[in-house]
Amino acid sequence: MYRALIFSLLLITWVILSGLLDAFHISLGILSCALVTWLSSGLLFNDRSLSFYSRLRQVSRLPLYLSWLLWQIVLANIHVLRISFSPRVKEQIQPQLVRFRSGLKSDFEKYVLAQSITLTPGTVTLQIDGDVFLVHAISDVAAKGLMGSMVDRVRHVFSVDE
Amino acid sequence: MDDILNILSVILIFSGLIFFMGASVGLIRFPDFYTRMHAAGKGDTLSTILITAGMAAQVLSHFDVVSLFVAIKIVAIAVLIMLTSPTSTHLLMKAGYDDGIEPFTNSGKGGIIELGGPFIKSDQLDDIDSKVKKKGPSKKKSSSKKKSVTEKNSS
Amino acid sequence: MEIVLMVAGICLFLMMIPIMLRIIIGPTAIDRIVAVNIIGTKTAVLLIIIGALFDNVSMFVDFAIAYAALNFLGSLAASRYFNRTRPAYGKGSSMEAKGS
Repeated sequence: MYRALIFSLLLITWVILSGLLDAFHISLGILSCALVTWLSSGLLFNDRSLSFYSRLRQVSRLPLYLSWLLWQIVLANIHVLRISFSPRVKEQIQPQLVRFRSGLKSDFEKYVLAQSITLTPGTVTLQIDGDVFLVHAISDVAAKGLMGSMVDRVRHVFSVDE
Repeated sequence: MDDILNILSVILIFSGLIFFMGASVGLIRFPDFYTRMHAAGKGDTLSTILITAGMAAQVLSHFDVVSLFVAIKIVAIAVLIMLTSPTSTHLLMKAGYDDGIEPFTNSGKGGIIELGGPFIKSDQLDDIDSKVKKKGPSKKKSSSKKKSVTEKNSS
Repeated sequence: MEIVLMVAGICLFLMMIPIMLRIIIGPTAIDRIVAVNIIGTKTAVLLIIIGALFDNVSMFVDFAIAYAALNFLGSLAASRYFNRTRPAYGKGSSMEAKGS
C-alpha cells in the first residue's frame, strides 16, 4: 500500500518536472520511478503502523492548519517590517531565550511545530533536544504567546482517532 | 479574466517587494545575530512566496497546457522555499548557538526562561536543565548568572 | 506589463545591496552565510522574472528549481561545517577575547 503511494507520488513529480506527455517519456518515468521505489521506499513514511484511513484524516486536517499558518506568516512579516523601520530598534525589542516542553512524539510533528514557531511572529526555534524546544523570542509579548494555541493545533492535526 | 490576473500579479509582486525590503533593512539594522535571523527567516519566506505566486498568475494569464505546467513548477518552487527556508534558518542559528555567540539583551536579564509545558513535571525540570545546559553560552556565564524566571505548569 | 517586471527585477536587485553590505561587514561567519542564503533564494526568484522578460519562462523555471534546491543544500553544508570547526568568529568580535 505504501509502496504504491510512494510510486504514485514519484510519478506525479516526474510528470510535473518533465512536462512531456508522449509515450516514450512516460514509460521512461514509470521505469525509473519503479526502480527508485524498489531501492529506497523505506526512506519515506517512517511510522507504518498507522492505518491508511487515519493517515487520510491527518492529511485532510492539514489545509486548515496551513491557511492559519499563512496568515500568521503575514502577521510576522508586518511585525518585522514595523520593527525594522522604527527609529530606535534597540528599545523596541527585548530578546530572550525561552525553553519549553512540547510533549510531541514523532519527528514529523516536531518538524511541523519547529517550522511553525519559526514562521509565526517574533519567535525562532533554536534547538530541539528530545521534545524540549529552545526558542529565541524577540519580545516579551512573543515569549508569553508561545505557550498559546500552537502546540494544541499541531497536536490536533496529528491526533489519531480510531 | 486576463486583466484580473494581471492586476493580481502586480499586487502580489509589489507586496512581496515591500516585505523583502523589510527583511533587507532588518538584516542591516538589527543589533545581533539572533535578531537578524528573525528578519531573514520570515521576510525571505513570505516575499518569495508572494513574488512566485505573482509570477504564476502572470504566466497563467494566457492559458494553455504548457503555461499550466510552468505555473505548477513555479508553485513547486514556492513550496520548496517554504519547506527549506525555516530549516536552514534553524540550522544556522543552532550552529551560531553552539559556537557560543552571545545573545543581545537590553533588560540585563540573561539566562533561559522556563515556560514549563503541558506535560512537564517539576522534578523532571532539573533533568532537562542538566541536559540542555551542557552546551551553549549560558554555562559560561554561570558566575554572573541572573535568576531565571521559572513558571512551572503555566497555562 | 514588461515595464512592471523590469521595475520589479531592478528593485529586487537594488534591495540585494544592503544584504551584500552584511556579507562585507558581518561580524561572524554565520552572518555572512545567512546573507548568501537570502541572496541565493532571491536569485531563484529573479531567474523567473528574467525568464518572463525573455518570453521563455518554461526554460528558466527549471534553472530556478535547481538553484533553489542547491542553495538549500549549500547553506546546510555550510552550517554543518561551521558547527564543527571552532574559529567561526570574524575580526573584532567580542568572542575572541573570551576564549573557549
